[in-house]
Amino acid sequence: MRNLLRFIVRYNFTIIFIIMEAIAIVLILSNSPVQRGRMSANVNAFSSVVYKKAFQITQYMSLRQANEKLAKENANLRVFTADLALDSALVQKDFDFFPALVINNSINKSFNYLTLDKGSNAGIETDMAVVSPFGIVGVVKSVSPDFARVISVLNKQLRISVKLKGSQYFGSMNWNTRNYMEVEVSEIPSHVDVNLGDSIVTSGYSAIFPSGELVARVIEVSAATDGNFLILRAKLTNDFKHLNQVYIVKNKNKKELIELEKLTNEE
Amino acid sequence: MRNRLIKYGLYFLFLILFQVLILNNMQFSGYINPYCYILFILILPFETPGWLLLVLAFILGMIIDVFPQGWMVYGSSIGFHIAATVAMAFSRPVILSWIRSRDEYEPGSNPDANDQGFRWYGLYVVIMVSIHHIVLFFLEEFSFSGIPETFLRFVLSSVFTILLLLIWEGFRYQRK
Repeated sequence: MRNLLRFIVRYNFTIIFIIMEAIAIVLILSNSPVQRGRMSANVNAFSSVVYKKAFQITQYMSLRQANEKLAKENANLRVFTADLALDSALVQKDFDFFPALVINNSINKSFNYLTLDKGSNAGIETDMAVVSPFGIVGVVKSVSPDFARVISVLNKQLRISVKLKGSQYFGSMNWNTRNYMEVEVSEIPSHVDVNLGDSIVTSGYSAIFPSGELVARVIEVSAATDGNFLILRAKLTNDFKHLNQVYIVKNKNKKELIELEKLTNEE
Repeated sequence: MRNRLIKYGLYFLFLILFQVLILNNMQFSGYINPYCYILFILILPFETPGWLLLVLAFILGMIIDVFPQGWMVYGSSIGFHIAATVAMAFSRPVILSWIRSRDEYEPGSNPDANDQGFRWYGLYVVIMVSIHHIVLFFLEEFSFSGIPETFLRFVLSSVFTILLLLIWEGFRYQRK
């Protein structure tokens, strides 16, 4: 017994080290989905609060930029309302827009996510679209009472149905993972006449995004290997490095739409 | 003694805030994740007892772990920084006596460039940062992506951390 005590005292440094490393390894390995879910809920709440505080400060410092952006958005809205008067107001009234702020964001991974400061308390649900004044941002993946986690357009998992503005040809958009400003649009038929600078907008087929939201502009057109389709390289209209104010979009008719589609698919 | 406590306490706070609010948010290229918070373990006085060194490393690593690391999904990184920082703290006494034998350090001097010279400090930082980063990125590779990419991240991140730490020391350095 005494020898054991002496041993512990003598090698306490090494013993503490081994115990601590063991704890660390256990912590890493025990991150099974269940425990992770339980733990990350608490951890998220804590770190979100800290990030929110930091964000409040940086937000204050970027007020000027925010002002300029607002002015720009205002101008765009004027043009838009003018268009609407000519078009018909029918198109967009099925959607509700909730303003939200981006409090965390990444652009340098293959799978990027954002955090917003609105959650289920504000009526946010999963699978809602997120747009900004300059283009689409992503889709809500999970919500907590006060925060929402959003799959960014800059995420390999996300495919969005898009079309060329002014034509009805639609394709599928996916991030190319190399450049945070560029996306790839595939499945556009090869006979379609595409010019550089053409706008790419959401098709509205998915019941998530409203139709006609600006996404990107074409910068390169090439043929797919099978020759039947085009592959468009396009520059996003949104600068994901400077996201601040966004809108979460709720499709009021989504439930009805999905039920109807399910019904017909079953028949 | 009290002044010392305050000094190291402030270092502790500042380094954590700097890490989680600034460095964790830097989007260099995905390959560069500098971890400067380990400076706290580097600058602790020579006479710091071993157990205290390890306990402080454990707490520091845990706090860094709790914050999202940018490149990982929320909260899934618990343990990585504990393991890396504790390993680094454990090797500190060995490294210190390895760079220069124990009785060559002046009593009461600190492990920094002012007391030990810039060359000593540079070597010290390079070795310690490498130990920390190699453990960190090895553990990550263990559960995530491929080896060449991990190695590249290890090298680039180490270079950046070392640069930042040396620049910081350059500001503190006074030529005698």
